[in-house]
Amino acid sequence: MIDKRACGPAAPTARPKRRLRALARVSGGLLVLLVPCVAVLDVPAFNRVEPRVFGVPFIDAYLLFWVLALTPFLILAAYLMPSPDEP
Amino acid sequence: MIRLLVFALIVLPVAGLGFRARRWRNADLRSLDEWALGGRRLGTFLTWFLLGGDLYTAYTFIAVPALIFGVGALGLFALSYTIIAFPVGFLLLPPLWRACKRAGHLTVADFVEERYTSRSLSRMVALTGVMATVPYIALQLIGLELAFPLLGLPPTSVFRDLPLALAFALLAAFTVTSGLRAPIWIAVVKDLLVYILVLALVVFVPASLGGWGHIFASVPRGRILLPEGHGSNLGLPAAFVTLAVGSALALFLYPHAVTGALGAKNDATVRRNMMLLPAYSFVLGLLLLLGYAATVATFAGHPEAEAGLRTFGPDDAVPALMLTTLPRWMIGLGAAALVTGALVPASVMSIASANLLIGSFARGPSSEGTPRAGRDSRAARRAALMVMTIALLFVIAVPFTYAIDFQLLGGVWILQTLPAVTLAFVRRRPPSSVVFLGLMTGLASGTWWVASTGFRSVIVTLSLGDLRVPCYAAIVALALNLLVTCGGWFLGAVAETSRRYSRCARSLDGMENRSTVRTRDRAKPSESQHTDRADPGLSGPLPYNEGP
Repeated sequence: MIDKRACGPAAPTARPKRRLRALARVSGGLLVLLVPCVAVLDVPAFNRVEPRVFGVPFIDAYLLFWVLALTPFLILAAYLMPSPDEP
Repeated sequence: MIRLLVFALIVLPVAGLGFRARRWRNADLRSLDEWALGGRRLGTFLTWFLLGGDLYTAYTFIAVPALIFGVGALGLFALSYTIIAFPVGFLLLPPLWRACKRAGHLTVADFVEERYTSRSLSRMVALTGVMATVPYIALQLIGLELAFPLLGLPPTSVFRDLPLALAFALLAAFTVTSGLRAPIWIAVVKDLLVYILVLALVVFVPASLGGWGHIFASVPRGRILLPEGHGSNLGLPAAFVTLAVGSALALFLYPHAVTGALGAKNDATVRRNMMLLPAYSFVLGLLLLLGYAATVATFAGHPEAEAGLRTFGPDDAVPALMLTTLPRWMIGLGAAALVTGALVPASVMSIASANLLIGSFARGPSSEGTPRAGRDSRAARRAALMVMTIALLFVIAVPFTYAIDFQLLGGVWILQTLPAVTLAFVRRRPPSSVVFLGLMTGLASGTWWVASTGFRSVIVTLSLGDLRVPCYAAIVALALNLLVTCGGWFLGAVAETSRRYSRCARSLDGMENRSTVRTRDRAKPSESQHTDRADPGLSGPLPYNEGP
């Protein structure tokens, strides 16, 4: 049994929609990748000693935090921007 | 004695592993693909060790803590840079891997040659890659030099040069014999050693200096923070940002980084590694803290540490800390970690440089067919040896205050290949001549700026009206490079459009003239109308009218 909704008049509009969705995902992925980059370049925001974290000045603790936080951001970007070989 | 024993017990089997690696997976090492890229069969685990081993080098263990020890918070740019570098690698490396795999390329220069169909541009990219790698290998050799005084050898000329020569010979031997397979396997051991060493240092150093709280309370505030700019001078924060951005953009253009990534079995492996490699950066972060610890530590009463600091300057900060805080046997392990930590990247770097030289200068163009396997592989081994020797001479000849300047100088050069590589992915690319001109402008201006400091610093102060901006020379040179490339591209596009326009106008004129003549000549007006509307190229009899 062929589902008539899957073909016929709906088909021409499906492609632009899919393309739009893919574009939105790629843009979302790029934004996600941009967040850590901006965070570690905004020097006035983290160039201070207090509050200390386990005795370590804020500037060092902040950058170390972003090293650890980077992997989740990259995983999210990979989810949003699938590789061309992936289904 | 115990230090030397532990060192020998670790380094000798590691060297054996380097030679033994040639038999791994029974590959034909006469093939350049096998010798230089390990057959492109590395999974996530080995790629992680290889990339980690080749990106986290003597730069991580020696150079960055030395900068923190000598200058202070400016050295923290290395953390920002590793955080920015992985998103860049995440975007750049997987498509590069796919393009290189599809066409069988071994290097970025091959890829550039295919995309721009320009041999001269590809050769320039290759030469830039080799030029940028030589100071980086030199930095690894400095790492080797610093490791030997840890074993109790005085840092005088004979005891300084002889072990370096031995380590150099070892590096050359296993690189030539086993190709990329040697650093892959040594990287696994190296990483284990480095993790043990860093954990030990993070425990022993604060324990002997009164804890991290006490250490940071003793460090002057001016060293913990980046001094703000005053008046029209943007100060060190501007240098921090440009150093971080410039180094991050440069990292995955280095031939050794590309070689590490191209060895992966698929692009998903490369992406996965970009997600997992930040774990290494955390180790770098911990090592940075040791730079602060070195500023607080008192080395008086430790003749070996004092002699090391006197001879090598701030670069000896971490080795001096090791000498004063670690137990004797662990110092031997630390020396072994430093030596393997320098040997692995130096080996990958020389292999990558050899690939570039052979691919661009000794092999026919990629379109000429398959590489001449045996001959190429032999030539590549000789080229790797040559690059290592040049790096050794570089260490002796070029005077830098900090070892990190070697890496940053390489960054000034390699960053200039960014437009050539990234624009190669664009469907409507700029002409190769424009990209070549931009590359040359970037290289010449970057080198001139660094040379104007007497090769002592890579930070230049830009004067923009009243504003003074301390800037990493690589970024300024890249801006000029992009200006020339994009400006040339734009002017070329304008010239091409006007040429097309005039050609189109000429052909329209011709059509008008023809139609006037035909209207005059032919009696039937309908025919002339038909000719006017028709494309001149299609106005002849159509094939299906010709009949059987």
